[in-house]
Amino acid sequence: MSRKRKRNRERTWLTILRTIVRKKGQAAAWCYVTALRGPDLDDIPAQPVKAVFTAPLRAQGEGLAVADESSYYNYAEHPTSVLRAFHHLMSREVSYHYLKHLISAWYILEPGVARVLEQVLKLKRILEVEQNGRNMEQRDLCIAYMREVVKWLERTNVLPEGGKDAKKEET
Amino acid sequence: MPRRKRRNSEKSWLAILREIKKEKGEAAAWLYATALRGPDGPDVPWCVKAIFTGPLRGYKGFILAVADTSAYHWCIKRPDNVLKAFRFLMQSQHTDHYLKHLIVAWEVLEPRVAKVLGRALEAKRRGKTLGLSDLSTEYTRAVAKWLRRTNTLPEENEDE
Repeated sequence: MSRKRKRNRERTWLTILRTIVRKKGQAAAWCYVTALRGPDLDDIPAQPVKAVFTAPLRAQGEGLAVADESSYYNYAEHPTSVLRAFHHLMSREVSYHYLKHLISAWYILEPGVARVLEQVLKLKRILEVEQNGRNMEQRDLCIAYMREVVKWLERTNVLPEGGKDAKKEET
Repeated sequence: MPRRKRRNSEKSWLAILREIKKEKGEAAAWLYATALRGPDGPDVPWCVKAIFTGPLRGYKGFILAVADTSAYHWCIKRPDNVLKAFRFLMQSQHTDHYLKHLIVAWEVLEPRVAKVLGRALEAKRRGKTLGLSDLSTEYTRAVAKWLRRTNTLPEENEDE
């Protein structure tokens, strides 16, 4: 009987990193590793943002004091908490750098998530100009993001199937 | 002839990560991995990333567009850069989280560096003024010690 293949959410961050190094090389692994720290949000509680955005990338592992994939699923059960995380991320100027790193990492793992986050980044820029409205778009993006992330977490292959791996690099 | 052991300044971040994992386990590797991204935030001067993140990243084996160990070495040639980086770290509202990650990573690699940064964080929290010139000298000295070393982790009892 063949052994059941692990889903991504059952893997440790180190296993994911090793797979990326083996199949995509060190530069791709760099994109992943630099997205593993949560955002440097010192003026608000970072927990919701960490649980929704950083936790799925971390999956499992020792020493993940704050957020791993289980905290992602806990938050996913409460749409208002997820919306709050989106709001925090979008209302802080400090999160641009973090968002760019997230996008680079997701381009390696699941371009669908990266594309949603690119829209988040775009909307964030617009919101900074317009300041009002756009709540509807934020909610739509939030739903699209959660859907794409779960797709990756429940998958058994770390990297996307052939050809879907257009990658970007950030430092 | 035995091959010369590589110094930490000549290793890649991946080689450093592997050594930590092998000798100290996954939790220690995690502390290192999460300090590899530079500080988030607008208007972070380039020298901040080069001075604080650069030495941890090791030698660039590929395009790390911004800062690695060689950027660190280039940057510290001008003491003004180190002072500027420390000043930014102390004055910015968004660097505490980053600083905490730096400190725990250096605790794994070289506790002397962690102590210097710990003093900076403590002073920042208490709103105390520190002699940044002395602090930056201590920092670069402790970092240099680690970069010159061939073992990634400190020798047993070395710090006592």
